Amino acid sequence: MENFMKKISFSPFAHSGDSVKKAMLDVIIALLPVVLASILFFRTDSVLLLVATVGSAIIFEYLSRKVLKRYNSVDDLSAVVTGLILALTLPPATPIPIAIFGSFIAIVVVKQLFGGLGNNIFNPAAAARGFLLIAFSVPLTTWTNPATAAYVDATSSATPLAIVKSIMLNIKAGDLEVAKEAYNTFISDPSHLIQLLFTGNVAGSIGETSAIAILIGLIYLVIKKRIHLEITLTYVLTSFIVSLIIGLIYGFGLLFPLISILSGGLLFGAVFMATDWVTSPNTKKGRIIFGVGLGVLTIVIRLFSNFPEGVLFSILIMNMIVPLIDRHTKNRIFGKVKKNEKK
Amino acid sequence: MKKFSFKGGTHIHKAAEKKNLTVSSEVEILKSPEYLYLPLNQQLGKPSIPIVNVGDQVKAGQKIAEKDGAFSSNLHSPISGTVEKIDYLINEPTGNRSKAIVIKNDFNNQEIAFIKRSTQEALGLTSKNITDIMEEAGLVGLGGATFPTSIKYTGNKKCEMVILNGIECEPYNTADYIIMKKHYKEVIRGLKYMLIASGAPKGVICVEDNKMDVYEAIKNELKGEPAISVALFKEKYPQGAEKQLISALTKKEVPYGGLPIDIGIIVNNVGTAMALCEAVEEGKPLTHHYLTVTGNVSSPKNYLVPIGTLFSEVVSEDDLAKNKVLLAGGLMMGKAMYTTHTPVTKGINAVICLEDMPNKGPELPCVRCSSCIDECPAFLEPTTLANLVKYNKYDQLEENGLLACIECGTCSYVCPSHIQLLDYIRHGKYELRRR
Ligand code: SF4
Ligand code: SF4
Repeated sequence: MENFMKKISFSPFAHSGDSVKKAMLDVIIALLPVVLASILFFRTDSVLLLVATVGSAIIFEYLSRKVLKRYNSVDDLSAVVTGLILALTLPPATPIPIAIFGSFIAIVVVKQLFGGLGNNIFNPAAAARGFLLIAFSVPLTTWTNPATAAYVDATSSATPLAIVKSIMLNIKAGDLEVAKEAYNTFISDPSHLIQLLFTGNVAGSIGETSAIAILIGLIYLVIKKRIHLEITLTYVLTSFIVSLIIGLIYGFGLLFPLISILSGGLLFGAVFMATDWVTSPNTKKGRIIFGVGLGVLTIVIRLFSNFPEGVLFSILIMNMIVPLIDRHTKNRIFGKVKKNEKK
Repeated sequence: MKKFSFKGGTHIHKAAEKKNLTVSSEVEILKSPEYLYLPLNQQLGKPSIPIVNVGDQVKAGQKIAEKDGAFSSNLHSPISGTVEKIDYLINEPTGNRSKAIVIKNDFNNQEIAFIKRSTQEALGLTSKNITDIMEEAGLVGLGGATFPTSIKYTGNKKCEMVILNGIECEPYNTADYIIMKKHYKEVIRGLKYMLIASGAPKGVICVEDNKMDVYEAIKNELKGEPAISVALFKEKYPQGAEKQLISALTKKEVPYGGLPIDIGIIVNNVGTAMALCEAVEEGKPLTHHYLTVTGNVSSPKNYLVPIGTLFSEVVSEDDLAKNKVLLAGGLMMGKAMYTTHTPVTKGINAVICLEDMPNKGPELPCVRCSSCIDECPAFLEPTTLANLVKYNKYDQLEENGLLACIECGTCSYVCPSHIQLLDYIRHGKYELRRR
C-alpha cells in the first residue's frame, strides 16, 4: 500500500542545464569568425597551424589524462579551445613542430600538471605562447604578409606593432625627431591604416589581426553571457588611456591610442585570453582591478621593455596575482557592514 | 510602472510553464479523508504537547495539542472523529520522524462553536487581542518557514512596516497565487489586523510581475487605503526570500545573523494573513490550507486540504507509478519524500511529482566561472565555501559568511560543473553546529 519513491536527493531539484562543454562550445563558436578571417588572410599557413595545434592539443589532453590516471576529459572541449587560441596567436610562418610543442606546453605542463582544468594558474595558451616566444624567438617574430596583402610597407612586412615599437626605440635612443618622422610616415594615410587594422589585412599572428572578426566573436559571447565583459572593457579602456597619455607626452596625437588597441593582439587577448574563467578573478571588483592591471602592464611592457609584445606577459603576470586579488576583493556579505563603514 | 528587484539571483528555466500547469485549473476542495496524521512539530521550535488521549472524540476546530512555551504552537483537529493513535508513526515532510496524532474521521462534521466577529468589531481589537488570537489559532509562517506568528508580534522592538510576501518564486507553486486571486479581500483585512498587532503605520503587499491580475485586483481594492499599498517585483529567483524581499523593497539589509524586526520590519506570507483574517473574524483556527499538486501528474491543480492529509490522498497510484521523484514544498527548496505516506503539514504548500531526478552529475572540477558568486543572493562565494568544506577548513567558514546562506539553491542550480554547492554548504553548517 505504501508507495516508495525511487530517487531521493537534496534540494534544489533543478539544474540550469548548463555545462562546461556548452560553455566551451560557445567559445569555439565565438572563435569561428576569427578562424575564418585567419584562413582568409593567411590561407594554408593558417589551416595547417590550426589543424596541427588543435589536433595535437586533443591528443595531449587524452594521453596526459591517461598517464595521470584521471578520467578522460577530451569531451569537455577545453583542449579544443586551448588549441584554437594558441594557434590563432602564432605567426603564419611558425614551423609546425614548434606549434605542436606549444600544444604540449599548454595542455600537459600548464594545465594537466597543475591539476587539470580549473586548477591551472596560467592561461594555458598564453603561457605556452609566452614560452615559445622566449624559446624560439626568431621564428616567432618572423612575420609574413597576408596572402591578400596590400600593406602600407610592402617590402618589410613589419607588423603595425613592430613599427610602433621601432618608433619607441628611437625615442629611447633620444632621437625624438626621427621617431616623430617615422610615426608621421606610418600614419600618413590614417583612414587606410585604420581600415586595415579593422579588417586585419596586415602582418601579424594569424588570428589577432582582424578587429572585426574579434568583435563579432565578442558580441556572440556577450549575448550568450559567456564573458565577464568588465575585464575586456577595463583592459581595452585602460590601454587606450595609458597610450593616450604616452602619446600626448611624445606628441603623437589621438590616432596613437587607437592604433595601440587595434594592434598586436590586444583585442584578441582582451576578448579571448584575459577573460578565461579559470585564470581571472572571482568577483566583479576583482575583475576590474585585473583589467586595469592588464591595460597598464600591456602598454608599459610593449613600449618600454625589450619584448615585442605586452599582451601575453601582462596576462601571465596578472594570472599570477589572481589569488591575491581574490583574497582582497571579496563581495560584502549580505547584512554585513563593510569594515570601513563601521562607526 | 516601478518594479523592485534584488541583487543576485537567477532566472529559472521555463518557470512560467511550470506555474501554468496549475494557475488556471479549478481548485478542488478535498472531501475529508478517512484518516488525518497530525505531527506535533509542525512549527519551528518545540513540539506541541497532546491534550487528547487515544479514544477521545474530537470536533472540527478543537484544540488537540497545546503549545510548549512561546516558541511552539497549538494544533487543532480539522475534522470530527476519534483519536486513533498518538505515536511515532510517520515522517513529516521535513524528513523527521515525529510524534503524530492520528484522527479517524466520523464524517459527522461536528464543529466546535467558533467565536465570530464582524470586521467592524475586529478592527476595534487591541494588539494584545490579536496576538492572543494568533497564538490560540496555532498560526505559523505559511510560506514554509513555520515560524510561530505571534512571536514576531510580541517582541519589544518597534515595527515600522509589515510586509506581506506574495512573491511565490518557486517555479511550480501557485497556492499563494490562488489565495491572492480568490481571497485578496481577506488577505488585505488580515494585513490590517497585523498592522494593529504590530503597531506599524504601514503595510505593503508584494507581488511578482508574473501575477499581474492579482496585482491589479489588489491595487483596485486598496483605493482609499492610505496605510496599505501593493508593490510589484521583477520575476527572479529567489525574490520571495524574506531578506532579499526586504532589501529589494526598502534598500535596507537585515543585519547578518539578525531578524527583520531588527530594522523594524515584519514579513508574513499572504497565506498567513488570510489565516489570521479567518481566525479573527470566523474564530477558526488554522486547520486547512491550499496545496498545489503538480508536476508529471494527470490533473495538476490546487486543492484545499485539511492539514494532516496524506500525500497519497492527492497523488494517485497511477501518477506515482509514472514518477521517480516526489517533492514536498518546492522544486528549489523542497525536500524529496520517499513515500506518499507523508502528511501535509502547515508548512507544506506544494507536492510535486517529477519523472526523474534532474541531472546531478557527474561533478566536474570548478572552472571558476563565477556564476555561483555573481548570482548568490547573499553575496557569498559558494565555490570558496564548498572548497573550505572539502578540505575540512571549517574554522574559516564563519568569516566567509556561511550563516548568511539562505539555502536557496541558486548556486547548485547554475553551476556548469554540476557541483552540488549547497550540499557542501549544508554540511558545513552541520559541522559548525556540531562544534
Ligand atoms: S550559497 Fe546559499 S544563498 Fe548563496 S546561492 Fe547558494 S544556497 Fe543560495
Ligand atoms: S558555478 Fe560551479 S564552476 Fe562556476 S565558479 Fe561556482 S562552483 Fe565553480
